[in-house]
Amino acid sequence: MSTITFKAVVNGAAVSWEVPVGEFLTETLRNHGLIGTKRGCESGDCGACAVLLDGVEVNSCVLLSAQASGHDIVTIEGIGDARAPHPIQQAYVDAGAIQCGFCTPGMIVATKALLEENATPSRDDARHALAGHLCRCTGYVKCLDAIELAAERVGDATKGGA
Amino acid sequence: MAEETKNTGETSWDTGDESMEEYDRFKVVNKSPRRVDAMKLALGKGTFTDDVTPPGMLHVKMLWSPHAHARIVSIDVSEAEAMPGVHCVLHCNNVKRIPHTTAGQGFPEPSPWDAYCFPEKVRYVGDRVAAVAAETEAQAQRALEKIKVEYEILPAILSPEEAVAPGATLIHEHPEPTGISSPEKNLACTLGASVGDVEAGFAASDHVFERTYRIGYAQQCPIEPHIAVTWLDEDERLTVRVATQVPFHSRRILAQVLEIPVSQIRVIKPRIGGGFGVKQEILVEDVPALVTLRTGRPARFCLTRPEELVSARTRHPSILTMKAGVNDDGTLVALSMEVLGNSGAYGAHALTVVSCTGGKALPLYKAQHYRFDARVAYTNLPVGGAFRGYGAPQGFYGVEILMDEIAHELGMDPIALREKNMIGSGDDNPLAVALGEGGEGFPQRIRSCGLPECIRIGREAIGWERRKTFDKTGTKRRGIGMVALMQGSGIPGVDMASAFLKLNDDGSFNLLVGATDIGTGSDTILSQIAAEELSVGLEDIIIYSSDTDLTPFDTGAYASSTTYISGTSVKKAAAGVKKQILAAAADMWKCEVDGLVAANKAVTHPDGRVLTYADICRSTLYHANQHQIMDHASHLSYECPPPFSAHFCEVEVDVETGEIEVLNYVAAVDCGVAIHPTAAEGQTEGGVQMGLGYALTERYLFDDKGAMQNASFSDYKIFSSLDMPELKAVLVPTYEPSGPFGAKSVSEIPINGPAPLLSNAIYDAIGVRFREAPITPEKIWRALHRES
Amino acid sequence: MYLDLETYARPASLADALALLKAPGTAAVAGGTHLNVHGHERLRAVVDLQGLGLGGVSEEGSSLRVGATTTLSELLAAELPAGLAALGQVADAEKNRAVRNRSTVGGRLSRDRSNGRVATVLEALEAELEVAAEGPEGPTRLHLHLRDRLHDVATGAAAGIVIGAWIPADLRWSSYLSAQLSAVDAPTTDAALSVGPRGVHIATGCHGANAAGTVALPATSTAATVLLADPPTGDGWRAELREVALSEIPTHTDALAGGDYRRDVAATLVVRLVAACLAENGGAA
Repeated sequence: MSTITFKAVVNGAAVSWEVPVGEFLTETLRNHGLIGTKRGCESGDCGACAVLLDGVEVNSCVLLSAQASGHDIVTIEGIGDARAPHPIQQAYVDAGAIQCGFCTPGMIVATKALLEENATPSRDDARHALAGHLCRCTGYVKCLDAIELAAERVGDATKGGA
Repeated sequence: MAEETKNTGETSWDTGDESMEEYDRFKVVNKSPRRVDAMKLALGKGTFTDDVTPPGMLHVKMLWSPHAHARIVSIDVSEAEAMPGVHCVLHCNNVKRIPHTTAGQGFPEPSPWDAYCFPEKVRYVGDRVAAVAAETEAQAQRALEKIKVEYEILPAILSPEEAVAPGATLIHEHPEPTGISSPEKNLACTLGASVGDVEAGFAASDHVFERTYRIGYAQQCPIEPHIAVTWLDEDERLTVRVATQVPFHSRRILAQVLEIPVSQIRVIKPRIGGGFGVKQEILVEDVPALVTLRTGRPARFCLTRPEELVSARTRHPSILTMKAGVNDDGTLVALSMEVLGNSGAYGAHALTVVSCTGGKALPLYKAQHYRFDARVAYTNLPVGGAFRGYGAPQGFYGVEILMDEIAHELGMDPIALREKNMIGSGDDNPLAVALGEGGEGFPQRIRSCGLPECIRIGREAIGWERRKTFDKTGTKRRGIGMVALMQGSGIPGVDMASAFLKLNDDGSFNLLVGATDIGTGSDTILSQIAAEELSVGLEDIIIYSSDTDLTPFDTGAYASSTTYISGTSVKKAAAGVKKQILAAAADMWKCEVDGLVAANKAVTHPDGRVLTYADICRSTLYHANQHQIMDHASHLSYECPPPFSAHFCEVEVDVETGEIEVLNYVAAVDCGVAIHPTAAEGQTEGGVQMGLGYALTERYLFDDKGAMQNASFSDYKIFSSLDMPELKAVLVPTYEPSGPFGAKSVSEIPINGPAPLLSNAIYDAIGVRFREAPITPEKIWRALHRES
Repeated sequence: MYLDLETYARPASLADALALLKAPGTAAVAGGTHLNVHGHERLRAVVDLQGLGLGGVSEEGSSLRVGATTTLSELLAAELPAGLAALGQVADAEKNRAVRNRSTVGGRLSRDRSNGRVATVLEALEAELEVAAEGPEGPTRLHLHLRDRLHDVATGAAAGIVIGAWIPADLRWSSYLSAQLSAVDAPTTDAALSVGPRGVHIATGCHGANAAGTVALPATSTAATVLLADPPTGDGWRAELREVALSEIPTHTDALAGGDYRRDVAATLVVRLVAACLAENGGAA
């Protein structure tokens, strides 16, 4: 089986992994312990596999690891952890936006990307940010609430507020 | 000790109207604390089935049938077996033929035993043919391509009408399966029930309306597809880690098909990425289990999204012929429903689903006469299973569009017609005995009903009076519609749940429940119930659920039973533990139990002395009269109190392109006391999303050979955030005396609303009545073009 | 999910890329969003174009040049001349952000005809494609008409690599409309219109497997040019224009939608585009 060396920065750490040439990034990440990135459709439609590639949201299920080699990748694990959850993660928890949780990492990645580009999104902006994230549990309502809450809190944090 | 709550006819059927002041006493329930599992899910740490990989795990890929109906003449796997990495190839010639049902139901299952691990005859495009287990998925996939199968193609039945026509090819002609209603007529089940005499009723009515409605295929589409991972533990017992709603049924049915004792199987339910009924099925775990038993190696079988759409389970498409006898003033005299359902290739859930089609929908309106007749036919198409609502969405599709049509024919306001006839607090459900779930039921009387308030709230929120004001001449036309709904809570006399609770050194408790959290939040809700009963905080409950070795029995997450049935078993167990705590305190103080009060994680003596639960535990574990304070309880109910709901929406139709936009949607729901209001709203919002897809965008497109043409999320469209209307879920508080802290259920009822509602709203917008779902832009265009 | 690939290459020069693409079972990949979709099981080698510097949106003389590996996000964010608004609109029509961030203009043109929003707009915008092909002394650049390239893609005869699209910057106004079943979806049908010194250009996308793909509507374009030169009063022109459009829009029936419906909706979108055009540009030739 043909392999390539995947060399990238993943959640801030440089990695070098031998992977099959035809392997997609979702598989590579999950095989290396980063199980937060999920497989929901493998056609780039549901967003459960979303990660940040050079800060930009992409579906890892349609990205060959070979293509991603040499780039900067952030997964849900790189956004926050148990000792220091990101305000976006806390907002999803507090807004009641998490039911089964399978689509949640992808949505949080999308929210991170949104707030980087637009610190004061409208509810419509939030709706558009989640357009490629299919959820069967929530009807998206409290996810939109979570994004609004996250924007508020991230905004407060930037201003040095509590 | 578990108390019995048998319905001996002596039960008080008092309504809960007097109990509303209970709401003021709640400390933990009817609040919305952070869910106990939310943070780990937000961090990406919650472990789903696929997140644990035992060393040496083999990957399974399945060869699916390319034919809708064919006999397998021969299978040659010799080349496949020789491929690199392949450990095992399974097929009908090396796996014993054991008829069973895949339906996750209690024993004996009210579904025909017509399925086989590897059938000798394939009965739909997507049926199982052979499975390969190899070191990697890629190797398994390559080996699949080397399997040579010779098929004798048989005529395919692609609709229920074809199935029941005289002379139709038989789909299950082998004498061996049991429980099939009439295999010689391709009928998986037949069912009938009646109250009074509908023919006399029609004859006595001022008007008789008859309409036929058709509602099609849809899939549950949990974002996590089906998956199971199996291995042998260090005692050589089979461990099955599976995305399931029914771990105990899974264990039992696996024992049946693997021919090993139940005691040699452990089923663990990890985090589940949604179920909605499709995982109320023993659908995938038998295959890796067979691989594990034959090779000794762990094995994984996961469905791809296209496989999930085609080869898992679906909604039962149904044709409903409705007939109503109504008087001039809108009083309903007689109501009949005739259903021809499509079971697909196998009969899992056919009988019980169609029972609910009549049993959940017909009683909403009080008539003197009812008649229900149902047949569910086999076809060579994807298999119907359990899907949220479980037959009720189809039933309400018929009933709630019919009511709207009647209102328009009589020139009555659609709300007024419903209010005139709908069931209410104190009323008996006339069909409850005649039409149980698959057989005779138990008497039911409504003890809590917030439907009038749901309607009042909804009509105001949507602006019902605006219906008369819309412009009917422009390119975009608006309309408003409404529907009234009910469902049930648990399966009376059948659904049993149990719980175990023990006290720890620091006054915390371990709560072990069989109940299955599939994303519904039951781990949190059951913990809230325990905490409320024990007078502690949510954080004092450590819950572990759904492991057949460690947790007591629960039928599983279906029939809207978890809060109502499992919740009561938790409340009973907690009450038992509380009694023991009080007794231990009395023992420690050498006093009488009377007068001791348990509150805030402590017991208080009338004279002011306090013993914390921690004090009591340390004393009872280590010091005197040592014993572990613990209790267990089971619960079964003969009552099935319905939640009620009213849905309203405003829709805009582009009459040139047919495109539909749902602008506003209000779902008002009475679920009794909402144990976790935010979770109850979430269930409502999610159920509406599913129902809207069923109403407008979700469909199965088959070619003339029975193959699904749109098996991917690119072409099978579920509602995205951009499709969703402005959606408001409103909880209407009532108190259900038979439920834990007044609770009923909420998880299924919301999906019943959108499909009939959209027909009603679109009729209001453009004056065209659709009696077939989904209503797509093309269908609107065709209807408008036919008219002009 | 995996592809059974043997080779992945990320060449640094067009010459290397073109040489690699000659091997059987080899495909070029830009964003890659279409790789995991059915149809690529036989692929054995991919040639990643990310190292070739084919991105960028810039004004070059009297044209706007859109590099082939420009993503839809980049197109949406680019400063476009006012008359080329349809380019931004078609980028925005891809509602899935993660897809928008990877899917490229060139990639969209190199697939089969089944998802050709970008092609519809480029056709209406009188675009030409620059294609690099192997030549005796290194890669040569050819300018092809869009429709010729799409035809080659559809028949499997496409050679070389699309490296950019050239769009006249003197277009005065343009717009794009589509109709679909669900908000995040491929179009059932779509239409685009531009108006400039060479008159009105209208194209429609006849989507679906084995469909006609992007189709220019010359008679409709001529009729619209006349309308613009002498703007009508009242609404009578709509029915007449619709008839002209219906006469040249192809039908395509598949599992997802019927041909008569598709064609009729396409005609509706064309009339709406012309109406918007008249409203914005009324009077000026």
